[in-house]
Amino acid sequence: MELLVLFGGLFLLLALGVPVGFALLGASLACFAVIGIPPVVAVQRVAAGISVFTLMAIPFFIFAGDLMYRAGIAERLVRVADAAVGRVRGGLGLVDVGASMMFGAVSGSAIASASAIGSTMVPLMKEKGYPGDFAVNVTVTAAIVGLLIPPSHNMIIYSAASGMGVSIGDLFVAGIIPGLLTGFMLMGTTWAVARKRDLPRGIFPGWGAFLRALIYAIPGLFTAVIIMGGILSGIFTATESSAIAVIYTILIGVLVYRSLGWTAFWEAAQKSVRTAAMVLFIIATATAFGFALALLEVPTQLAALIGFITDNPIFTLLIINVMLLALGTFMDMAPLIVITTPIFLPVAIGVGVDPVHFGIIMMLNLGIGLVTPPVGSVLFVGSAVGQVPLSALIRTIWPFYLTLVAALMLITYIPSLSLGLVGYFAS
Amino acid sequence: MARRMSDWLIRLGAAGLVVMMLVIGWQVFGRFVLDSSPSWTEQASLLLMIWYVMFAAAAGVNEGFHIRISLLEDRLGARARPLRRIVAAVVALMGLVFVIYGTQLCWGVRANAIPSLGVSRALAYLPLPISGLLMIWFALQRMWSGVADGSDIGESDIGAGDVPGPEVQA
Repeated sequence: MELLVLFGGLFLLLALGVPVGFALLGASLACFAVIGIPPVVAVQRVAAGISVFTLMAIPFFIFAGDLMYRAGIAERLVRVADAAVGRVRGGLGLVDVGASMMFGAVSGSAIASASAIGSTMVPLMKEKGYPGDFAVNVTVTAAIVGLLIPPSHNMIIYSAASGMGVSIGDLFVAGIIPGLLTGFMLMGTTWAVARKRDLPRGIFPGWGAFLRALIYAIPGLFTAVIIMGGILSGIFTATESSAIAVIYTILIGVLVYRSLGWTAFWEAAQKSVRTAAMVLFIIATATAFGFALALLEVPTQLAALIGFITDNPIFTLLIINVMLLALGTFMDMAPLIVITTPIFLPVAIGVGVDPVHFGIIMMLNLGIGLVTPPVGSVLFVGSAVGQVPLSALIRTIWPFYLTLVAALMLITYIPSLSLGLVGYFAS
Repeated sequence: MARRMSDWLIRLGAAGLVVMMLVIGWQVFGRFVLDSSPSWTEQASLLLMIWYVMFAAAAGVNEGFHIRISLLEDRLGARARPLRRIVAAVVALMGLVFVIYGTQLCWGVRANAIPSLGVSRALAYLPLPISGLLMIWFALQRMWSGVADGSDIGESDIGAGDVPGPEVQA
């Protein structure tokens, strides 16, 4: 009964069009009322949900990503990728994936990547005779790779939601190989689709041009070195490294690239505070929702249910993956991490899965949810940036979905892809 | 009036973000250059974040940048006005919850101090009732007019908070 109120309430409110953050709180309050818990507990959980030190990295990573876009760093990464892989068939598609991978290494957000790379690449591809749907589909699926390539603010949410101090540094390192693998697989698909649709190829500008592009991009790419080096060596915490990334981006934007003015800076701050408030408000109310789930013992019951069906790790992970993929189609990533981590992580640990490895599985799995309708924020951003209607995108996105799911399966069932480097860097 | 208020909330929030960056920057500077880690910086920036997140979240009710599913509304088209009123009423109700129980929380912890800052813990809860009040105001205004907000999630456009480019911003 209480469970029906909780989930029924959530689905009803979401279907009506109540914003996700408010719907999560409303459903939790309704459930609390049925159980007989005072509403002040829900509000207290909301407050506790944002009073988390590690979450401070989220506004900073969002801010840094926006500043990088305005400082023209995304554009410089595109030039490097173009000089490197532009010459093959469908070359600009590969450039798009490559630039998204590099942007993922300097920024922490898939949405920032889709808008930054997309607003540079999609018009360029259209101009060179690529169809709009292809351009946007490559952009949005490549943006998902950025969730795996460190830094990644969703890994910080996972670390906070795990409640057992899964190390952010370990998660960041664990994402590197899965990120590269998924990126290269997407490049393969892009190339195959481009061949099938007979898309144009670019010309190789020569090694000199490649080196020049690389040198121009190095100050931007160095952000990745600062963040990862700082966290791995223990010099900075994740929060500090994200703040340093913002300060560093401002410095190179103003002093090196001279492309960042006061107006752009202030616009970026206002834009980022909106995005950060949206994400963190949902995390806060999802905390109340997660509390209600825990009260109703949903995690233990679901664990028992899955344990009843199977105790085989391969099967268990398959069940969890399918459930997360289904949830991801209509829920956003951040609340799903907050809500489902306490449910599925103990189940996964129960069948011997490493919490770091499980985090990487969740990143890619829920990342796929960001590019699937009816609710897929990265897909929406791509559709808006590229001015291509969703219906046109959905018709031709299948090869990319299949690639992401194939990558998900590889990452799920080959733990060493995630954990190999972690052992190497273990402090 | 509501529009100007929500613009100011965003400006305050953006200033909060910049100050938070400076505070954490100072923390790093303090540790490496001055060789003494200031003890107040982490608590202060967390407090700051709670304030600006709640302020900007309230502004989001006015600007309509909170992510939501608008499939039903899109389908109803011109007849969606009553639906929008219901949605605004739910948001206003949540605002009321923040006002009542946020105040209760503030009152409950008014005598406790936040370690390393020395201020009352009520300051960490105070943004909730304030933001709740603003949410009620913005939502009621929306209920009154029954207009769609600037940027619904749907086929045509996306949350204004998502895209840096001015060309797609609502």
